[in-house]
Amino acid sequence: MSNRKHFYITFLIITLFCSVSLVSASQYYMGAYFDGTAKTTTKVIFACDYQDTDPNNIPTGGNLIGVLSVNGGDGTTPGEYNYQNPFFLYEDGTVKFIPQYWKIDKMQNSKTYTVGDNDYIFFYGRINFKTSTNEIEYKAYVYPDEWSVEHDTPVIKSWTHTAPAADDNFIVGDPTYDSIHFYSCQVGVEARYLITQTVKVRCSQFGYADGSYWKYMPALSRQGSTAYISYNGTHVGKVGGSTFTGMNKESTYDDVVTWKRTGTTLDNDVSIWSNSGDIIKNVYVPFN
Amino acid sequence: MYKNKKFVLLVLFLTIVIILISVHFFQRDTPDLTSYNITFSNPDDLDTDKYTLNAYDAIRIAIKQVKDDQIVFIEVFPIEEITFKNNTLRGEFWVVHIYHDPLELPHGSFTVITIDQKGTVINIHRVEWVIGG
Repeated sequence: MSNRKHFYITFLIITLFCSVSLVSASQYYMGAYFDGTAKTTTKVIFACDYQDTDPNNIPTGGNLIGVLSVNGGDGTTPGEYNYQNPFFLYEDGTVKFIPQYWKIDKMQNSKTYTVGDNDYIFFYGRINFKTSTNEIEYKAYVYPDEWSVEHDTPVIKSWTHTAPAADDNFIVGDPTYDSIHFYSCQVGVEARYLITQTVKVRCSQFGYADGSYWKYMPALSRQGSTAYISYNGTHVGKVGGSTFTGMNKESTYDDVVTWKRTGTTLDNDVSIWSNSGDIIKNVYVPFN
Repeated sequence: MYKNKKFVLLVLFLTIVIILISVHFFQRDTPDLTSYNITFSNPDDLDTDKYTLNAYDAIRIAIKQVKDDQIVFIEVFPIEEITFKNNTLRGEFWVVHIYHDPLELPHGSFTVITIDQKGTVINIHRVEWVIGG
């Protein structure tokens, strides 16, 4: 074969490889969304922990993720960006905080921080829309042990980027726009590979700032195949992309859900909790 | 006699053709809904007195808008407020989402059809869905 042919074939293979790697991979997801009239806010928060999970049950090369996702917009009209503050648990028990934001299906930027282990007490993730500086700020508040909880002394990591020009605020609630139902603020469990062993992720204190208060709304379930969150008029972006088959809720009460892989897949729009109100805080620093 | 027989045969032939065409179009106008995977956002939607156009009529109207062989999955739900390009309409509407691709693929699309209580399609658009996080 001539050198020119070699060159063309190599070029073709590289091009194909790059094209495939640019396509967003689908992840398995099950979430809960705030069910209520759409509102604007500038702060959202949640906490998660993996204390009841054996990380060895995560497939090799896979992960287990507790994540809050929120849509950005100008008022309550769904926008094309969404912001996430996931905590990734890996097979070796390491937990990483990987804040990121997406424009429909393209990740714009992310940052990775190794923040702890599966036996830590709480990982709080908060996202702030800092209107004074036009920045998005992601913060992790990590409580490694009982002592840090009792003394409210978390380890804090933060990452900031300039807010996209199109966004002025976050959206919470479930607006319908162009006859499409959007789930603008969600908390859920996600995984790279489908997990077939028992795992649990507890998500709690999922809320948004309403003036000087931290509030929560009633929440309903949503599978990853229809977890619509962002919109640009022709494309809908969804969290995860594929339904986390076999994922269910083990227990729920107001503003707390424990996701558990049981083998039975939770249906869409099942009540996770039905009340609304002020967040009951376990600690205070993440809410300051 | 021979000419009459030929005429009768021609009429008979045309009659059969007309019947076959009619049956064909009749079938297209009333699709067999059992062959579709249809979900309702709320099972009570079928019984409601509130929405004068029932869900199955909404589906039949919607199915006529797309080719049968593109339909994989249908979702139907009632809605009281719709917003198109920042214009909000209030009333009683049916929304039908027709998915054209298996839901588990990385990319796909669905057609959104909004129908008012007279059965008039007031908006139809196709949307691509993608993984967004």
